[in-house]
Amino acid sequence: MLKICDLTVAYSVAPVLHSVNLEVPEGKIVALLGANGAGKSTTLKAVSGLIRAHSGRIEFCGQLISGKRPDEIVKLGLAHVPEGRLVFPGLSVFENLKIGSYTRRYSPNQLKVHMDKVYELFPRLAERCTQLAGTMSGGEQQMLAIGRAMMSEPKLLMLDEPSLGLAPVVIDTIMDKITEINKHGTTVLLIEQNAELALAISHYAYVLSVGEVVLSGESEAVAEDKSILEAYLGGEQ
Amino acid sequence: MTVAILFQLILNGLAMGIIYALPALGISLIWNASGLFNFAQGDLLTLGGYIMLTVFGKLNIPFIPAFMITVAAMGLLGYALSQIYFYPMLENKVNPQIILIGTVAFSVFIRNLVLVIWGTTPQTYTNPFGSQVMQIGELYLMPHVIWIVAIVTVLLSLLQYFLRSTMVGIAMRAVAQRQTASWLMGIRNDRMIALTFLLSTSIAAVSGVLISPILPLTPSMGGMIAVKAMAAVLIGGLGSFSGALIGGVAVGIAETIFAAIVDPAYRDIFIFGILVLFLLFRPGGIFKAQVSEKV
Repeated sequence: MLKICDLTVAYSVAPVLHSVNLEVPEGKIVALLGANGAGKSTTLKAVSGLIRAHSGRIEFCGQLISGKRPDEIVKLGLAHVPEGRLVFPGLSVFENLKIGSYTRRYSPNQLKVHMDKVYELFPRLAERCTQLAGTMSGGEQQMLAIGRAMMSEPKLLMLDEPSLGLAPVVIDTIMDKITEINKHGTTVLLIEQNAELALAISHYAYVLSVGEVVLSGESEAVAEDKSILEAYLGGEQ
Repeated sequence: MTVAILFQLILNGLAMGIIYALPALGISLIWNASGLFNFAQGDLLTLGGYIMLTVFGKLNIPFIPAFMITVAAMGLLGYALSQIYFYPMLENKVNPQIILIGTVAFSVFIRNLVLVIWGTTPQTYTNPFGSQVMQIGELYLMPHVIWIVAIVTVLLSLLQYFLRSTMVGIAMRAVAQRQTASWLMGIRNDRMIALTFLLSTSIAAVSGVLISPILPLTPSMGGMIAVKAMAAVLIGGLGSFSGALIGGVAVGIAETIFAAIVDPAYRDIFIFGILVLFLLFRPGGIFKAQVSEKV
């Protein structure tokens, strides 16, 4: 579904990604692991068009998307939940979800159907629908950020560190929901610093270190390679 | 002073205050969308007033179409300014202080453009709202006072509906809060910012038209109004729409009452004295903007 070939990205002069190759097959959860500063977020930003690739190709459903604007990429069915959630703090939960469907131009009925789906996935959001997003807890904001992305009915959902800064119980809920979203047919590309979490729910995994893919394979196999994981992800794993 | 006179002063101050509130609202809209302070807001108001002078006063086009032509022309100008100047500067992450100096340059440019085209003599045109004084009980009212309040009430209700309930309005607010996230929603930030400028200059044009029965047009009139509008914005709370409205009305009423009971010559000193007090003791204004910066 998503195919990244020889992607190189440079901020000012220094390259951040060196010919990264990565593939996300339809219907799967793919984890992209790596320590802080390995280039994980940069990869996602290049895919969703927030930053320009220096060279390389990015294809989505057989279509070349590198060089397209973010709005064009969203329309094709690719949603990106950014690091730090970035919900709109001064908009209500309802407005945040509504704006998630910006490119879809739903009729009022369709809007309600999609919003109900999100509320079913995250009942907490339904309880808070009139609350300003900025006043919610980190876990609720993460649910909102994912719900907002789901409003555009994406074929591929890309999540950047959804577990960051959340309590363990909340992390478990979020991971369960990601699995549930995937079971309903949405392909997932998941970025995580916490390798254990990501390997537990993903089918395939890539490990990124200093801008290069150093390890990839089925998640189970990658998880067994404890020494390599430790070397690239740090001792805490 | 009788209650009737006080009430009369409040009404007159309300009309003036609404004139300040409109550019104040424009300043807040632009501040929210781009983090920029637009110093040219007052001169855009002047330009709107003079375009109306030509279209309505000289070409004798009826009031409503003339009003619409003026607002549309100014809206287009705002859109162009955003696309040619503001957005490219923002996109290239130019230091906001430098962009701000550019708005000062626009201010000087527009003022001198008006001077070259329309001359320095103060000009007026027939009061479109009629000049027959109305008497209600003990109150004497000019019809334009009622018209100004009515037109602005309708305008602000429409603006409120647009920003709260339409997809484009919500998108505009989203862009004002988080530009990375709004791109990811598929919103064209450049277009939304241009739309914000279009709205902001259109609003300036409305106040330029509405001010004509109160003040004669001069090329430099926008300067003092802009300073009052900025005082209104800072007193009300930068970035807050209700703050801009209430700040503007408060400034208008306070200066009118002060001028009547103390001395008109010290009116501006009084207003800016209050502004200094606000900056010292309540720098966020009456309404701090409801948008928090980072979570």
